[in-house]
Amino acid sequence: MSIAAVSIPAGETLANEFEELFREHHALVYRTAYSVTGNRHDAEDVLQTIFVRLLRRGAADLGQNPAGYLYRAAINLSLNVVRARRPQEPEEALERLPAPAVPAPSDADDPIRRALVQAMAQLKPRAVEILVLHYEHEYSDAQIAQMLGTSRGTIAVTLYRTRARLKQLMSRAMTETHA
Amino acid sequence: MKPDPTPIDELIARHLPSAPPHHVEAAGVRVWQRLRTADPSAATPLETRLDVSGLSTGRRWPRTLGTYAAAAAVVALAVGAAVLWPSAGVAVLEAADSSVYRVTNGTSEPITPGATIGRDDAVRADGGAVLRLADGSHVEMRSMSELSVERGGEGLGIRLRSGSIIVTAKQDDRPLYVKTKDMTASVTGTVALVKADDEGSRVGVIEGEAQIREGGVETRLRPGEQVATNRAVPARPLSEELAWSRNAPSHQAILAAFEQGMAATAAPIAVPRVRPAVTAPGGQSAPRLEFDAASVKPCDQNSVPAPPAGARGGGPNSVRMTPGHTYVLCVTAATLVRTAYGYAPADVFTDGGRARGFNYNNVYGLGVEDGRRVRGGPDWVRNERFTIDAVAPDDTDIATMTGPMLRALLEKRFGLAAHLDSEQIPAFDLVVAPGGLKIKEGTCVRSDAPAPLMRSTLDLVRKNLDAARRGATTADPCGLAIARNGPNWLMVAAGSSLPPLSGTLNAPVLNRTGVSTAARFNYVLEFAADDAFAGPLARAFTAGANDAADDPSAVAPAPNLFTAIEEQLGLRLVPTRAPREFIVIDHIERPSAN
Repeated sequence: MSIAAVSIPAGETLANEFEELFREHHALVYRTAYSVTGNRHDAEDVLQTIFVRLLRRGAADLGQNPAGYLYRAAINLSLNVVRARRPQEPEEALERLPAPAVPAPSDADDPIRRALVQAMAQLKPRAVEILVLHYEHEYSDAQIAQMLGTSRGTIAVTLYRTRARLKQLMSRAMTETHA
Repeated sequence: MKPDPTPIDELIARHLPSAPPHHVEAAGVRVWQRLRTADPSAATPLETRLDVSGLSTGRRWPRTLGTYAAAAAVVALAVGAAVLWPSAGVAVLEAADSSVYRVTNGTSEPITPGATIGRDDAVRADGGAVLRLADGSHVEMRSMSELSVERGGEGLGIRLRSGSIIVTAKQDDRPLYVKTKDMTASVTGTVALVKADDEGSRVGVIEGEAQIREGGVETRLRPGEQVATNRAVPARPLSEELAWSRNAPSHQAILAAFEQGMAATAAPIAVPRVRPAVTAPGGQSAPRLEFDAASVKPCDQNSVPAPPAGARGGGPNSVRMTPGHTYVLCVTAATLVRTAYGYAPADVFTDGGRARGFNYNNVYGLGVEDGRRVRGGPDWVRNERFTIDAVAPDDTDIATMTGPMLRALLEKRFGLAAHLDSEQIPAFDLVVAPGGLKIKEGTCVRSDAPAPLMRSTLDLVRKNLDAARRGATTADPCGLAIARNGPNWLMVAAGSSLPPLSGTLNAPVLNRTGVSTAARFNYVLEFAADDAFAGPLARAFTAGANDAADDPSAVAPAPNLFTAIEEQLGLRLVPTRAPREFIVIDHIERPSAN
């Protein structure tokens, strides 16, 4: 009896493992970069740079958890991008900061978002990793703890402190802007 | 701006930038295109801007990460057409009917599927065997054949020492070379038979084209053609030469059906006219978007050989492209118009009705345009058929041949005048149900062992059904499979995207979930096979579909699709309307004489 059912291969035919790596993880990298940088141009640059570096260095660094490696790479490089937008001077009022090198299309409409992105750039990478896993990728504290090899309590505390720090940074920035 | 009194948690959730799914997709496509031609030794624009030297290594990510797949043990990185293969491996043994030996530095050792073959290693097969090359091409070896795989300045190559092989060369910028003691064949996107023995060498093309170099003489072979270095040895028909292949029935049937059809219905192509190039200001020639020559001949579909059972294409309503050549077999004018404007048959699951790109050498079924996409015109555009044989410069891409060039041919030879219009048709928005999505992103672990050459759809269903029901990680075979389960339909996803329902519902389904089409899940969707499942997929499965259930009569009926998708997956189908483009024929005539 012939089989009259359809099997749809997962995605397109993949020419090689690199293409599969890109296909599986490019969305994670892009979304992460977008959340940290706040604009599609920088996010795309981050995505491209990370995978060019993979071509350059080979896959040995990926170990057995390529997603984790790529995620952390996306966070670090994205933070570098945002920090590079800021002048090398003490914290300034938002209105006196120069425009980003590639202005986010929606910044003009969402100053809170702009303030949030700038504030995140002042956090430690670990805090941003946890923040983005929680808010953008919607993992629970327990899942994040498992992913990072730590306790749920540590994640909860870190998130609490990160929120408090962001609140402080953003309140200061928005108050000074309004002044 | 006053400080926002909103709690910080809500403020972050609301204002944290979140990439829209279409941004993710578009960025993926653009970046991948750049990566294909990237020079990794050069700094990227971002690196130049930041003046950074490389990735921060930092702390290693812990191993436990349940929702991500483990990295492959061996990763090949592609730079343009060159493949960096780990160690010196240039091929992998995928399958073997009997003993296969790898000969390295004169030492012979038996190898089994999965073994890597290094550059300059010889491979000797006592029975049939299949190799997968570093560039994705495949080589099927006949019993008592011996070859080696080389990588040199010309790229990847096979040196056939004795016996017969069938090469399925991947479409790529750099051709694959097959060398014997007295000739070299270069192939790309081609299926070709190569034979070497004491009497000489022989090459025959099954699909695509091959460039043969023998001494200082070059010959181009097309499908069905063969050449031998020893003319004294009489040639057997190509279909007989490849009878030993495990894919012989498939090769023979499609080749025979299509070629017989073309022979029965095509007219000789007129001598190509030399057209002066259109010269733009500045002296540069504009690209010509017309075939160099074309024959258009009426076709009686009853005189065309039937295609093989189950084959898509090979009989009437088929098309095949090779570099610089388009063959269209016994197709209605309405179907030609639909194809020329870039639309697929209505029952092919595509994005917005647009056709996926064709590839060289494959025979595609175009179906018969039924009025959904092409309107107007006299009755004969849907009843009468035509065979077209058209040539263009070899470097003309497929999209140009099947798009602008085909349109120009229709305008010139059929006097076609048409315009685009659109209408609103019933559709569905796919949204997240109020209770939230009930599936989480997951993965399917691919096996390191080479995949069997033939894979049953029910293999996927039976192997992954339990894991997919629980949303747990699944394992090879990965993908999406649809089968019967007693009175129900089963859609089992093993590392696949959200369920493709356009074909099931025979209506566009628009993804409004916010979930990226790149996201992968493991799930089961089981629903009653009722009238809602009236689309073309149902027609494909109704007759003689195998059942995943051991005792179909014992399976309880599932709810209908709309209830099932919400209860099982946390998705909802909301009726809506969506625009659909169609082409209106303003004027058309029966084709002028060749």
